[in-house]
Amino acid sequence: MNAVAFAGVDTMHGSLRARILAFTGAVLIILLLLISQVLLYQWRDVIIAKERDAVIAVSQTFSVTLLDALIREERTPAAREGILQTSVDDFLRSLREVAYVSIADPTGQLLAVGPVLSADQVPHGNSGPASTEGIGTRIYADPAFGWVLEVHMPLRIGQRSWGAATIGFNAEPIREEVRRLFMFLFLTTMIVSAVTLVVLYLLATRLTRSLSRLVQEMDRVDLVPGSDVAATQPGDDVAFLFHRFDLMKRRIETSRRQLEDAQRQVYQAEKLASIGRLASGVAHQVNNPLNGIRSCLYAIDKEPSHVAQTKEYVGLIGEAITSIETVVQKLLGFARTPLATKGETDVAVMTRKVADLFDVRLREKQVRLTLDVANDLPPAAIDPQLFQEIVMNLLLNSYDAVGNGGSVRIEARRSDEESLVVAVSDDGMGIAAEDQARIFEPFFTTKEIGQGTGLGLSVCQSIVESHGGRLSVSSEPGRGATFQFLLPIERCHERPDH
Amino acid sequence: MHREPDQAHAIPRITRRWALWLIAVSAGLSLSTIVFYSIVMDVSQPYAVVVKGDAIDPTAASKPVVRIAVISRYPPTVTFRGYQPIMDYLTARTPYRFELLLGSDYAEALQHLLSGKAAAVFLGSYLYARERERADIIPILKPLNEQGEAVTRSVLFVRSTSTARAIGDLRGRRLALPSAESYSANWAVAELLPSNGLAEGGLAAVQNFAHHHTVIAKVLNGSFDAGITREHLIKDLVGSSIRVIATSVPIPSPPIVVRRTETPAVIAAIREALLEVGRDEERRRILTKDWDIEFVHGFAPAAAEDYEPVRRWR
Repeated sequence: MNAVAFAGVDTMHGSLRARILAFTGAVLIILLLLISQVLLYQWRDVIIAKERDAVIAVSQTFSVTLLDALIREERTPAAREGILQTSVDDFLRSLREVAYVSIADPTGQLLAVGPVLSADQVPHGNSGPASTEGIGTRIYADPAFGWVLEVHMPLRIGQRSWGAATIGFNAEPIREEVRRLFMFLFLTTMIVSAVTLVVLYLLATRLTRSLSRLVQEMDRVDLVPGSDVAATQPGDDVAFLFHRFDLMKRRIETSRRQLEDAQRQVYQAEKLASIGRLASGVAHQVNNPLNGIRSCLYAIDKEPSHVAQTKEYVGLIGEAITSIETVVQKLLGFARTPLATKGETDVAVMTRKVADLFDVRLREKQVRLTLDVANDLPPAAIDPQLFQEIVMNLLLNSYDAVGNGGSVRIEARRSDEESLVVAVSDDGMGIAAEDQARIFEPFFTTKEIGQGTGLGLSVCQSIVESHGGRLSVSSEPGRGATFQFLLPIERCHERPDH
Repeated sequence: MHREPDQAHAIPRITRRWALWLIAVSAGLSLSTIVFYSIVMDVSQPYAVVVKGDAIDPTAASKPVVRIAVISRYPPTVTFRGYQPIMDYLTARTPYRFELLLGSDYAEALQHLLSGKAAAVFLGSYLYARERERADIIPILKPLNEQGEAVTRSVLFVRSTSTARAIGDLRGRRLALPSAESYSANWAVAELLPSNGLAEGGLAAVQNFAHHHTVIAKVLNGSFDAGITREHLIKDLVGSSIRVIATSVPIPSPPIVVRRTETPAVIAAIREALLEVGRDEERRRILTKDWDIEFVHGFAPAAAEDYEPVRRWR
């Protein structure tokens, strides 16, 4: 028992800890990942904005040179394509981060480009929209230059426009910085997650260890009055649970005692009620010997000197008294409250005893009682008194149900290796279908007021079920009813070596 | 016969289940990390205007073009930065579209006016005074200085670290001059140097440069010991990197000049628009924030007589 209990404790311990780790850890890791993602996106935007501002500043500085060159070329046409291209080439040489430069006039015609990759290649960087109203940027993957941060710089002074410069900067440094940031946040998230899981594991272990202790104590506790759970350290949460558990156990003990008292009273009440219903038959069984005794006493009084007759009559009186004693003993035996519920019952013997008690009443009503009880039945695991009470109640119900000349049958046989079945059936009025569902409820009766307590079947069911058996009814209205109950076989009988 | 599995070697079911979960979660996390990595590393961004500039005036293209020439007192880019906003203002305020026409030197700017390529010219005071008798030209406007007066001055300056405290200390040193057509250069050559005994061989070198800015740069970088330029151009440098050791008398500020035969409507448009600049102080400050510093205080009407002192001095 303890091994099973402790195995359960271990399972509960592992399962609870695993759930705490799984769910709390999952939520924390998902939160960390989300925070990392948000941080990464925002940080990436900052990196891009910073790089964009830097290249715009460089482009604006370069645009001064370009404007100067454009104005010079404008004033001295002979120098056209010389000053501007030189400025572009110098710029490309001076800044390695610059991938390309192209200068276009307001109509979009290229004035200078660099570098020229091949003779027939259209210079790159002029594919963006030619906005002249501000500085524009974009980042894209160029097939020739890789990732490029392109700046589109209008070459304007006031309303005077000389065109626009498109300058492509290498954007790989941005990606490299984002990559480093990603790795940093990824590793940070992993480390924080690992630390969090370890802390969670320790907390969960500590919590479940306390719970395990409580469960172990609970498994160890028997609901025997006076047995307290083990004392724990005061102030501990588990100690509080222990205390509450102890109080609950005491309340259960009190309730159980009250229930046992109530059941005992119900059994007794039902038994007395049954005795009352048997009283007429018993009175008849007592009355006949008494009449015989009275006749014998009358004869002895008439002829006191007739010694032989007197001796004979005294013998008859003795037999009559013995007969009365037998009836009274049976009645007392039935009326005696059972002190214990354990025991073993010879079903055949006890069934016949009950039938004997009923013999007179059955004959008065000309009811035919058939006993079909196998002689080799093993004893049932039930106190004989309780068995007698069950059969008595069922027989009383059948007696009430059948009319004059009806028949009642008591059958007892072995059901299987483990149990016996006892059935009491009659050919009486039967039980309505709607009543069958309620027939085992306490105080439910179809008899007239004063004829029944409504407790008989309820008590029978309680007794049978408390012995691990089952009581059931089958009936068709107008065609009788059969009450059948299963009882376990007394195992000591099956295992004589025990 | 039913045979129980070998419990000693069988993996407990709960362990197998957790292991499967662990593998599934790890695989999911790994896959999502790879996908997320590829998403994050795609830094592509569509084209977007990030620094908004001034909108192009769509009505300007349909207006008749009027060109205004500028003498080459500054480098071309500096000239455009300081004068193009004035052209834009005139375009916005008049029925004409004004364009700058830069001269490669002072004479070419005047030639643009005389040939009719330009309707007006930002001329120097000395050049106007010299040419007014030969060409049929008239001044229409002259810029105001910070005190609201239509006068300017030329200055002789040295680096603040220079030991020269007076003009006499420049003997044997190098002097940078602006264009020979400018008032500043002529003031130095004709008046300042002779009156201080430095006219003939008193200096180690005297050289003219096309632009005032070049003169300032030459002195600041040590190529020359002193330079002559306009007072307002070094205003922000005086006290920090430049020290002024001589100043000319006030002369009328350089005029905007037109041919007498120029279309009166064009002359009136230029005159009215530029005179209006200084009428509202708050509006002037906003309007002229990108203008050449010489014109930010507005204009005053100019007349040929205003330049009589320069002509007489010449």
